[in-house]
Amino acid sequence: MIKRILKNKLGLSGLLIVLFMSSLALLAPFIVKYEPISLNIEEALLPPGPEHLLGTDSLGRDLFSRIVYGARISLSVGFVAVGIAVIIGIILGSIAGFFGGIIDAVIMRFTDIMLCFPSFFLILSLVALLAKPSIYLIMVIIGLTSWMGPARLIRAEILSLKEENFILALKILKIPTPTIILKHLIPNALSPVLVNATLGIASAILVESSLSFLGLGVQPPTPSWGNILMEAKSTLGVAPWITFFPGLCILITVLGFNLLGEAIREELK
Amino acid sequence: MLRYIIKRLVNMVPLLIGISFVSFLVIHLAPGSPTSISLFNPKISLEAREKLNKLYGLDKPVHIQYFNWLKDILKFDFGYSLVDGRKVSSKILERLPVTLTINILSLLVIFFTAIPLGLYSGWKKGSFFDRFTTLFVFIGFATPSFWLALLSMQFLGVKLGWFPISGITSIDFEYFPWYKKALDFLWHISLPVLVASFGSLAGLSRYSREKFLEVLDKEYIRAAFAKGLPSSQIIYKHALKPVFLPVITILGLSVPGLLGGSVIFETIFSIPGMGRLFYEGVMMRDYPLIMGLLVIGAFLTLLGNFLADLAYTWADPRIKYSK
Repeated sequence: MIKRILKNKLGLSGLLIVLFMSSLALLAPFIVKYEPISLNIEEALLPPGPEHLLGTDSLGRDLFSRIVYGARISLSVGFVAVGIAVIIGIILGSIAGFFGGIIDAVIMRFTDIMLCFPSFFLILSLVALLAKPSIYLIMVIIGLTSWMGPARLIRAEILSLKEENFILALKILKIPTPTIILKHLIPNALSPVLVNATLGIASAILVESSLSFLGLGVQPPTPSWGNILMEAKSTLGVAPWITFFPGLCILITVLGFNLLGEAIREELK
Repeated sequence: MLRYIIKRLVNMVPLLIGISFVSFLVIHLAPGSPTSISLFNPKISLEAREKLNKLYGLDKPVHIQYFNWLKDILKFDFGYSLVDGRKVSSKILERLPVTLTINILSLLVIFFTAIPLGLYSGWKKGSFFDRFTTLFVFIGFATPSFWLALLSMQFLGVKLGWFPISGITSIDFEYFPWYKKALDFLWHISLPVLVASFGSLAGLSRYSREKFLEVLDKEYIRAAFAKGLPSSQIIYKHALKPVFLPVITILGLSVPGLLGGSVIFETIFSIPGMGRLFYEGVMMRDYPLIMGLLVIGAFLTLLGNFLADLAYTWADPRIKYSK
């Protein structure tokens, strides 16, 4: 499958973008020349140039360093939040699909109810009400509000898989139910979730940056693409580059995950 | 048809109860009570605080609070705002029209640009136009709406001066004749509508392209081509309807996304709508207001799905009402 994704031009570019951004995030300390939070008022609002690749912000911090460190935040929020969502989705979806009946009805009605809420409304209220926003809290909250897709997919897969002969055979062999679910049903039901998760990372990154932009996400001075944009709002007229580059990074990263997700979907067809 | 509508409405009742329960739970999970925050005078005495608790019913057990609240919202009474003491329902009602207008306009923009775009690029599959729109679609999907809002504010608003960048009316709005009022309003909300529709536009045009290609591959369409019918007739008479139907559903499903997006663009463009009200409520920990808006937001989502379903059944007689 990986080979065929590499042959798909859009999929390959998506994969390259994701790898590039991940390596930026991982190698951040070795890439940047300046500390992302070190101030230097004398060099405030410098346009992009050889010394400061992408210019500096209103406090003289190097924008390139801040963006590279911001990649760490965005990608880790994306991966962890989706990890949480997928785990919740797998647990609820497989229980609902396997046991059916009233358990299934209750879980699926709950899923329907959660899907009725505009998710950004729900996330905002949780973020603002639960505690002071921290990056971990944001990961958990995005995860807690986006498990519905994976849960539905897993349930649907398991519903069709459990009628297959190999599962019936396992039942006849008196293999314990948890083993059947964990070892045989879930691994076979995962592929559609893979697409959903890849696209989910993209939307989690968008949600985190929107939250940080509203001042309800990652708090300054820790740089995140969203809060750099929040701070850039006041200098939009004089230093448009501070607004331009972080947004472009969000766009490219999200684009990468979306392209990759679409390519995997094409392959699974 | 009437029986179908009634059935659908009855089915919505347990969902609505669930929605109210989750909204209530979300707010009451929060640590700290609304009367304890700094919004009130920090020197406030314990006695006064207890009085406040009593006033808002916060001294009663949680389940009693829930049932009282539920009884009230059935009468469209969401209690009183903790910030200014005004009725939550009237606060929401005065903000709702702006948000609905912007979102309905965005839906129209999405509908009338995305579908032709998708259909045309499907028809010219593999052409330069098709590849260009595919790229545009992916970029549109990935563009953060608040970034787009900032950029359009800066370039279309400040640099070129084509559009106003905040509020929904000019200063001298009061003295305008009615047609000028309407134009002034439209002029003010053009940037927000542009920003709100941009993201969904991409998704829908991609979707209608895919659907169109699927339909073109159907045997009855291929048979029509083989018979030598003119292609315009085949498309307008036979191929378009099966594309439009699922698109209606998608539009219905895009309501929650649009509402969530309102929070962002209404905050940026300072539009006094529901999204901004929600943001203010969250910042001030205005519990009754947040609960009310969560319920209304979810209700609008349900309504969107319901209307989409109705339109679908009306347009496609094959769907049995009994289902």
